[in-house]
Amino acid sequence: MKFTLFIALRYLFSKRKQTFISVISAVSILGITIGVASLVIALALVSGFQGEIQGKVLRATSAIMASPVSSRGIEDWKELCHRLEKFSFVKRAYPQAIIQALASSEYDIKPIMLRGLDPENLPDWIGGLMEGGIVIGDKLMEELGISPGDFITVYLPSVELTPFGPRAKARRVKVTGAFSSGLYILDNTSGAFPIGRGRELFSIKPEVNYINIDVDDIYRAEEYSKILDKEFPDLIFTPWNVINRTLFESLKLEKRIIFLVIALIVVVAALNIIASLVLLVMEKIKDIGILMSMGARRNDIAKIFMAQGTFIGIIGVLLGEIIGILASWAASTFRLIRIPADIYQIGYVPFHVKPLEAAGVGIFALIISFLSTIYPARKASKIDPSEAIRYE
Amino acid sequence: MNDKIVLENIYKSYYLAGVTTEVLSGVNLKVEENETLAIVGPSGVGKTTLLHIMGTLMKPTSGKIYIDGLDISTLGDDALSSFRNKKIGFVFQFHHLLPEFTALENVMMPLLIRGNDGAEEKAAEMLKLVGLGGKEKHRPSQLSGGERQRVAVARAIVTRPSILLADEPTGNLDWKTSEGVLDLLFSLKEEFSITMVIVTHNRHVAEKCGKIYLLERGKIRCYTD
Repeated sequence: MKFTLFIALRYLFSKRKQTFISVISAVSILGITIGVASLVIALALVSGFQGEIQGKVLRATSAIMASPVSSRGIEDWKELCHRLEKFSFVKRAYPQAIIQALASSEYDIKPIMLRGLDPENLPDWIGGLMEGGIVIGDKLMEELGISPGDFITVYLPSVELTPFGPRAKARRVKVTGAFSSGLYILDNTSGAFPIGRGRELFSIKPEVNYINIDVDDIYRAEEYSKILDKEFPDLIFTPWNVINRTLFESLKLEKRIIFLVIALIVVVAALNIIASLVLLVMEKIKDIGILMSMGARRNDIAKIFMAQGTFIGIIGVLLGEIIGILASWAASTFRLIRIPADIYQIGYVPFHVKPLEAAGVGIFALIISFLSTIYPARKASKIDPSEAIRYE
Repeated sequence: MNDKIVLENIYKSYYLAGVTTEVLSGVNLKVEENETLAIVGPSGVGKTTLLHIMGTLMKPTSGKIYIDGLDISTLGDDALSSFRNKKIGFVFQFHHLLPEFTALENVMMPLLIRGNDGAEEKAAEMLKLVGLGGKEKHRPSQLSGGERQRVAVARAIVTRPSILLADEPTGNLDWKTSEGVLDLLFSLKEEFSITMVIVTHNRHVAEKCGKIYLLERGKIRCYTD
C-alpha cells in the first residue's frame, strides 16, 4: 500500500485528539449519506411515476395513432392497415373508432370517450367486448350509479331532425360490463364497443376514424411517425409521447428541479468535508513537517488529505446508495405511501431506482467530495517543513 | 578526509510583522565525513535554523550548501525530498513520532516513503537494535520518554543515511535516560559510519563530540581549537 493511503486511512479511523474533528468528519459523512440517499429516493420516485404512467398510457393507446386529415373517418382502413404492416418496424396496425359523447343515467350525466376496438386486437385491460352493448370504465360506472345490464343514454355530438325539431342524436345502449385499466382517466371517462357495431349502436359512419400502430421500439415512435408522415399524406401520425407530451415533459422538468434542490445537500456536506480537512491539516501540521523531513514530497502530503476526503465521500456515497435503494425498494414493494388515485392516476407512490441514475448520483457526490479536498490538500502541501516541525 | 557538508557564507533572515531579523550572518562550516560535530550556543541564536538549513528543510536567504560535493540549490522540490530520504536522518528534541502509528510503523515510515520492499522486517530489526524488541505494537503514548526517543533514533537511521542531524536529542529527557540515548546514538554512528551533527546547549553532550562549534550573533566559530 502506498504510504499516503496508509496514513490517510489511519487518520480517518483513529481516535482524534480533538473530538471536534471526528464529529465534523462524521457530520460530513452523514451529510453525503443523506444527500445521496435523498437523491436516489427522489429520482426513483419520479422514475417510478414516469414508468407507471408511461406503462398505463401505453396500455391505453398504441405507440402511434394515425388519424385522417379530414374529419370524415377512414373508409379504406383495411387497405391502409395492410400497407402499414409492410413497414419493417410496424408490428401491427388495427382500426379504432373514437367518439366523444355524453353518457346519461338516471342519476348523472358524464362525458364519455367511446372507443370502437378491434375484437382481434383488444388491449389486455378490457376483459372482453360483449356483443349487443358497450363496456365502460368501473369508475364511470360507479359515478353513473349503474350496474352491468343497465341501460344508459348516449348523446352524440351530432344533430338529427325529429318531429319536434333538431335535437342532439341520442341512443339507448346496454352496459354489459365494466373494465378496470388502472389508469384513472381511462376508467373514469371511457367506454368501448366492438368496432363494426358503431353503425348499429350509434348510427355512425364510417366506422373507423383512427388506426392504431404498434411498433418494435416504442422509444423510436417519433422517428417512425415522421417516416410514415411522408408515405401517407392523408394521415396524421401521432406518437404516444406526443399525445401525452405535457405530462411527460412536466415529469422531466420535475426530475431536474428535484435533482438541483437535493443536490444542494451534497454541496453543503462537501463544505463540511472542507472544514474537517482544514482542521485536520491544522492538527497534523507537525506530522506534515516530520513526514517532509523524512522525504515525503509535497504531492504526497496533498494526496494524504485528498485520500482522506475522498474516503469520507466514498463511505457517505455507499451508505447513501444502500439507504436510498433499500428505502425505495421498501416503499414501492410494500406500497408505503398511499395517494389519491383520482389525482395521480395511481393509488400509491411507485419508486423505481434506475441503475444509471443511482450511479450518476454516486459519481456526482464523489466528484463533489473530491473537489472539496483540493483546497485543504493544497494548503497542507504548501506548509513549510521547518516551521511545521517547530510549531507548538 | 572528505568534506561531507560544506556551508558557504550562509545568511538567513526572517521577516515577521514588518521587522527583518537576521539570524545567520555569514556562516561558514565544513563537516568532514564520519566526524561528530556539536553546535552549541544560547537559546534562540539560530542553532535549529542552521540545522534545518543543513538538512535541506529550509533554504538560506543566501549562501551555498554542498552535501557530498553537490550544490543542493540545484535540486528541485521533489529531488530534494528524495535526497533527504536517502541521505539524511533527523532526531528532534521532542520525539515527533506520529501518534496514530505504532513504534514499528513509525520506523517503517521513511522506508514506505521511499517505496522500499521489506520495510517491516528492516524496521523490526532496527527496533531490536535500539533495544525495543517486543514493543513493536506500542503506540508512542504507551512508551516512556526514553523509549520514544529510541524509536525516533531507529526511524532516523533505518534508511541507512550518511548524515544524522540531531536537534537537542536529549533535551527533553532526565540525566540517566539521556545517557542511554546518547550512548545509542554514538554507537550507531560508529556502526553505520554516519556523519553526525548535534545541536545542543548541554555541555556534557557537546563534550562527547569530536568538534564543538559555538553559534553566536549570527556567526559560528570553532570552540575546540
